[in-house]
Amino acid sequence: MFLDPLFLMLLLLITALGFIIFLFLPSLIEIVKPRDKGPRRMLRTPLQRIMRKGAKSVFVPKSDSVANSSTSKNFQSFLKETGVKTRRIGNDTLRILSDVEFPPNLEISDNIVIDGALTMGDRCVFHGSVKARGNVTIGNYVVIKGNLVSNGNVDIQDEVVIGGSVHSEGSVRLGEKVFIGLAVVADGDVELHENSEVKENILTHGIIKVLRHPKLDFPSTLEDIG
Amino acid sequence: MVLILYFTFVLLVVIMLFYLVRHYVFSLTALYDQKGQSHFTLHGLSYRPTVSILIPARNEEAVVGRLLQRITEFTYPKDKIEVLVIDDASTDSTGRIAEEFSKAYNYIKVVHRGLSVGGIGKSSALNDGLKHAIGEILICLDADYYPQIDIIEKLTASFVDPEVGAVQGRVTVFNENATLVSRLVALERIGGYRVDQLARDDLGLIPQYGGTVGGFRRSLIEFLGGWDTRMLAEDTDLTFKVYLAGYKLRYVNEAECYEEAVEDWRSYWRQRHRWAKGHMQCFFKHLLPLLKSRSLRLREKIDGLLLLNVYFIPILVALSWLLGAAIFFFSPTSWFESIWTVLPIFVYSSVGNFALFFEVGVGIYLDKRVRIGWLIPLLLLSFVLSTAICFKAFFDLTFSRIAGNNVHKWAKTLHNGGDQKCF
Repeated sequence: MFLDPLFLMLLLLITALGFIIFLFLPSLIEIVKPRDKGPRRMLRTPLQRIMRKGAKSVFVPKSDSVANSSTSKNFQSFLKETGVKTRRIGNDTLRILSDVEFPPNLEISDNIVIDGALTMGDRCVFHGSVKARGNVTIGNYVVIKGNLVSNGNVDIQDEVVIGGSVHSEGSVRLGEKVFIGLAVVADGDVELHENSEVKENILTHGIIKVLRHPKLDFPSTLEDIG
Repeated sequence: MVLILYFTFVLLVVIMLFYLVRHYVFSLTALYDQKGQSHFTLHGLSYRPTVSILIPARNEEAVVGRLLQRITEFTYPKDKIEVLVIDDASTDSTGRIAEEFSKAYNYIKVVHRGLSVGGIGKSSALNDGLKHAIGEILICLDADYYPQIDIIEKLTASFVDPEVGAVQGRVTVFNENATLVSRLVALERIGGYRVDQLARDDLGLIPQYGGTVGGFRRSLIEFLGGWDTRMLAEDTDLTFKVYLAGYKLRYVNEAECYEEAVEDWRSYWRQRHRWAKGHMQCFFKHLLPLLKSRSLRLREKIDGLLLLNVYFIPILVALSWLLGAAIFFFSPTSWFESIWTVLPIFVYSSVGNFALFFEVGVGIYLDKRVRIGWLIPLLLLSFVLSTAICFKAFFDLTFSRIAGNNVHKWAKTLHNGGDQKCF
């Protein structure tokens, strides 16, 4: 009886029918009596522009004086000398396929994307933006006219000018008299000297630490007070 | 003979299972990993490049005024915005409405295209707009769209990264309550954007430019030579061109925009047929360059390959059905082996070719909605229809290639303004 093919077919049909009803019944209910509260409401709160009102400019170096470097090395000859592998992205961006250490006084007009860590010597000038997948260390008196993006930590030495934003998935440290034209956005901590300036926002998932200049610091011992 | 059938059949099932795994990965990524999102968006607070908004419009009198009015409410500084309405040989009052806005707002401009040059497709209209655009960033919006007021900040923020060449925002259907078709399209959009695009962005794969609610660096578009007028899916074409040029594309889930979805099956068919045909054109155009590319990582190549192949999946599924049936009849064996016959049906039910069942379910959950999920089984209808659409698109493309005809007619989607109460 149970092995009768006709019976099995019938059982299969009933099961299939039951499955189809089970599957489509909610859809039919929703079509006949819709209770969905759609369409989805888009988020209506716009990004708030947070202005640092009343902030005084501590130090605004003239980038031209730094950019006008007569000792700038030819970037192409640097690439040839070091033999680093590069690849062009579009017509205005160069990708470097390894870690790189730029010597001092280098001047680069392209945007630069580095597949590893980046170390910049003093007084380098970048006319575009810079991105590194690793950590970034920037020497003194460097000028980056665009943005600086890093998937690691960013360490910026003294009197550096960055015209755009700094974006880091790690921590950011700004030396003395650093000027950031737009914002600093970081996943980690942000540490900056009190005589550095970030023109717009500092946004971080970590803490923001402001370091005081030693000469301006309060006396720490009774002997200092005399 | 039977062995060859078995081998082909198993190969097809393996391909479909590959898609199945891929979409499970996407769903789980969207559920548990969002590290890549809402991070760059913060730069939108301060980063302000000059932006040209391109709006190609052909006979869009019902909707173009709504979009232009919305643009006047944007929070982005108006001195950094330029709006270019490309009146693409409209025969209705689209041009007049745009001109009225142009008189009232100095950052809105109208480019009129006559009947002799206009009306041949979106790509051609956008190329005309590109000639007049002066912004560093180009944002494309379709006339039936209705964006957030701070969408420009959110979209342009990603361009802080010099490696990012293009961005794509999220598309949400506003007229989903109009008909069953628009509700099903809304489900597809939820799965496609909230889960699929988001996961691809998070996993460092290839998020897709959707043709609207997205933007490019102007220098990149000029480098690529503008929009290819021969391509019906100019968005997919550009996606691959961006990646092959070495740039990245970012999907910004927070940048949302309403769209008017098609409301009847005929419009659905026309729109999807154009998409399928265009996507197949892209497959033939970009397959080899993708595999040969030195700028793409292996995972990007695999994802790109699967993305290019997506409109062939219904065809492969149908082949699997036929092969399964052939094996069943030519090699009648036990009940157990006949399960092979129905396996592709179950696999296809899980895979689909657009937003998949579980992706849609996850998207609905992430959007904190419930009841619309009750319609998920009805996506089978659109999947079955997609099979027919893809077959027709494939044959059309094949025959036109044989005939040496590379010019394909752009099937325009009509918009009536829809139910606007959610605005």
